[in-house]
Amino acid sequence: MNWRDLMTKREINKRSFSGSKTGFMRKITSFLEGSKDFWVRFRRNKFALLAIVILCLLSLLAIVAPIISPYNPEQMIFDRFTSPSPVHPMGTDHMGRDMLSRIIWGTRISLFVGFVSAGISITIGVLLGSIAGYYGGKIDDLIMRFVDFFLVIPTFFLILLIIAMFGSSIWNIMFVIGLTAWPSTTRLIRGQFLSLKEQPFVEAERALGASDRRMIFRCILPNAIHPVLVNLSFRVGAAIIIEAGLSFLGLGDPRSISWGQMLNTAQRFIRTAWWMAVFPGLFISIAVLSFNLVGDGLNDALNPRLMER
Amino acid sequence: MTFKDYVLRRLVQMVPVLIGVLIINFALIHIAPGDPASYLAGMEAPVALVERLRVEWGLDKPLHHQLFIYLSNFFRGNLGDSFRYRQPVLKVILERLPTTLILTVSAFVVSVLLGVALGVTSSKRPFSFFDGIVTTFSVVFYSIPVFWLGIVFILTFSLRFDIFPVQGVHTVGIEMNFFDSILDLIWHLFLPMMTLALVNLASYCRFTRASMLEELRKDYIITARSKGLSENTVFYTHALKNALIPVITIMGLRLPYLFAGSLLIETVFAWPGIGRLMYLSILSRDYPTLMGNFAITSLLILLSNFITDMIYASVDPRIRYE
Repeated sequence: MNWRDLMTKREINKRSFSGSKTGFMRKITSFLEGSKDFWVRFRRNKFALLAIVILCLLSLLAIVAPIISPYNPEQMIFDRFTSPSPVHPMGTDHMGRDMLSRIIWGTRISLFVGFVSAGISITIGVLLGSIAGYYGGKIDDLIMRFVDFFLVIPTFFLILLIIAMFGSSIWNIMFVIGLTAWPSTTRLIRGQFLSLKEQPFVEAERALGASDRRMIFRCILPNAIHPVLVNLSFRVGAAIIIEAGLSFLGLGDPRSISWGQMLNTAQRFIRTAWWMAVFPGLFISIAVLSFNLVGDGLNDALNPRLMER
Repeated sequence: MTFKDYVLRRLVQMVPVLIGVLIINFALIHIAPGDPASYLAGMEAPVALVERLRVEWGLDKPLHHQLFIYLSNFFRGNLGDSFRYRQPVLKVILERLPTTLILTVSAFVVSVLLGVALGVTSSKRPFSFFDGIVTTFSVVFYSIPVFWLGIVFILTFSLRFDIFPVQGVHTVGIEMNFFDSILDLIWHLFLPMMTLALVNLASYCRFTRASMLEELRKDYIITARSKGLSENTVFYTHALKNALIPVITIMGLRLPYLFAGSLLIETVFAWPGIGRLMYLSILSRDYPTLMGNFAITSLLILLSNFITDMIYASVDPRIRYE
């Protein structure tokens, strides 16, 4: 190993968690420090920043929904089918409930389902992808068979089938979405591992006698954290859309207030109450669009070459 | 490897995937809460029917034997009977398949043609005003739920402006000659087809643009330019040809989304294909139809993937010698 390799090893190590040993905050700061260029490039993307602001607002809305929503979302005391007015900015529905309050409460379910299912699929995807990429050989072949299988079959049909058979509780929905969405993450992480595995700093770590677990989680995986972030952002958006689709087809959790279910009922009254159909869908679109824009922004910051003019 | 070998190999590779799908169906019947027979016969089925199905599907035999019966029944075209229609599932699905294919194939063609055209045009002057608009619209349409877009289109074009029909495939109660009925079909098809195409074209557009920009950075483009070829020749003959090859792969990968989108769009527009059948089967918990639909749609995607691969192999000769 010549001095040039040592230089790269040191530089790359600076960018990873493995450099710092004490304290969670040290780790965070060293992570942010190490990827400074990344965040500088990300900040240049105005759309992505706007999307971050929107996502923060939506999350806030989800948290303070009980305080901020003007009425009780289940209260059926108003006139039915009131068109939007200052009292009911988004009108009322077929049971005389305030649409604005229902939409504010709907933020909770959508974001919750989005984050939990994305978390599940990212966890599975990262684990399987690391194993496949790190060990290679037969186990890699086996995992990639499964990945290819899930990428070919119509998973949305499978999700519908499973929810119809097992019941549409919110947990079932989140698990099924999470359990069917991991293959693309696995493929991504495997690719990262294959290219990182050959880097000098990884060989150095191995020469020092690190265990497989340390190699995977301490040495290689931290260097693949940015692609994981990109993927997480897209996955949350995708999960929100799938949940909305399920609820729209009548397979949502009947006990929850969800945007997709509002669209399902709105369809029956499409000739009388356009506002019942327009506003919930608008919110789904805004939420998903924001996650996709953040994902795009992270991705561009990751591959600065794509931004060259 | 010759082209014929390649075709054969790809055909053989489809079999394990299809069997995998059937194994999922089979496993679900057994894992899901309740008696497996009730998923085949329906909850309120008469005892005689349940007993008949128990024998037909070998439910009293060991599991591996049952799986074998399940697979062999499928390959003989027996997908069970629909509770809702009291008919064989295969017949119910095949009756509605052409209606779905009209929608999906036309939406597919429109989305690929428009998506590639927009992607190529916007890659010609990256970061220009036109490129900005195309890029923005593609990320927006990529994020909008397809069923909501359909509802919004119905609200504006059907209910507000009364240009297109709200639902269905043909006008009911009017005698029409062949030519008029085709026009009527296109008139009904336009909105659902455009909705499905708009949501799907975004990814083709984004991908084509990225692929073109990637291609334009390569060395052979510099060579072509320094030979003194016109900018149009470099762009359309040299770069475009190579940039389109990966787009063909994306076509294959997008197919599951196309069918999922078609399911939702058929529900919105009451388009009587297999997507709407899926929706109605969910409402009546018609499990054999749901499972049959999952299997047949997987088969459709496999076949379309096979066609994509054949196009790929004939466009890019390198693939065959891997």
